[in-house]
Amino acid sequence: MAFGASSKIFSAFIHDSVNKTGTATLSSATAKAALYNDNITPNQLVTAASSSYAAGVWTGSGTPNIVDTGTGGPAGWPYVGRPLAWGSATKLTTYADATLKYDADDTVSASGTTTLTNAFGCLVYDDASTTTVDQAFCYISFGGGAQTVTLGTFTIVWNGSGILSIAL
Amino acid sequence: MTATLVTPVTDWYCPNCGLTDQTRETGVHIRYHTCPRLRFLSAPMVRTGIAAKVELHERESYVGNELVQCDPERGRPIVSIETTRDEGNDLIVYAPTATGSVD
Repeated sequence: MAFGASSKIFSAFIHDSVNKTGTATLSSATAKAALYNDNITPNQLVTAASSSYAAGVWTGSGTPNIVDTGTGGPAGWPYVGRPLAWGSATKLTTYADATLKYDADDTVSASGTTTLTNAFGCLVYDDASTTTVDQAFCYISFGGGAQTVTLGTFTIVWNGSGILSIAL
Repeated sequence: MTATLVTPVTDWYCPNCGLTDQTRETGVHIRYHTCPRLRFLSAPMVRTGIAAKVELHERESYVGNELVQCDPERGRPIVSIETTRDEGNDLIVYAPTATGSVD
């Protein structure tokens, strides 16, 4: 199994959004980014339930879900992920843009003494989604290599092109 | 009795270009600068008195259709900037974009 080097939008999220059968929404104020190691093989074409945090391959609170245990200080990156924030970033482009872009501020560990081992990517999901609990929007690969931080700060700099984008 | 609030001053330096700076902030924070020795990326500075190196890691995997982040100088796909200290490291990961299209 391998996380791989590809970042994908879940087809179930798009399907459920267009079909109005899901409650996961990009306008959610409670989106999170949870970290995973290389012991999973993500698939963008799974059901909504299997794309959710703590479901399918996206195990919560255990391998391969990664957490800072807080042994070096306060837990910097919990299993459920770090919340996305929008202090300066624009969450979603408007209907007038030919490319729909979903963005957020850079996501930083809550502690300067965070220890995370072998993070290969993350799951971005709506923590407020109810029809399918914690349904995800997409998964992001960090490029196919292990990212490890020891007693430090872990930061995800989201692309200027967005966490996800759809060319219309 | 009147309490006096003192904002801590933190001195920073860049081990690559030698730039120095100062911040007056409370809480955990990192000072960034556009580093000419690190391909003009926004790179973290290091607290004065702490020995460290700051390195750029390029992407080694095939880019394919991935919408990756590239450095401004050479246009090479980048994965991370790592600050290595004696007792640990900090990591800034440059995430690609998950893309879709309606063609």
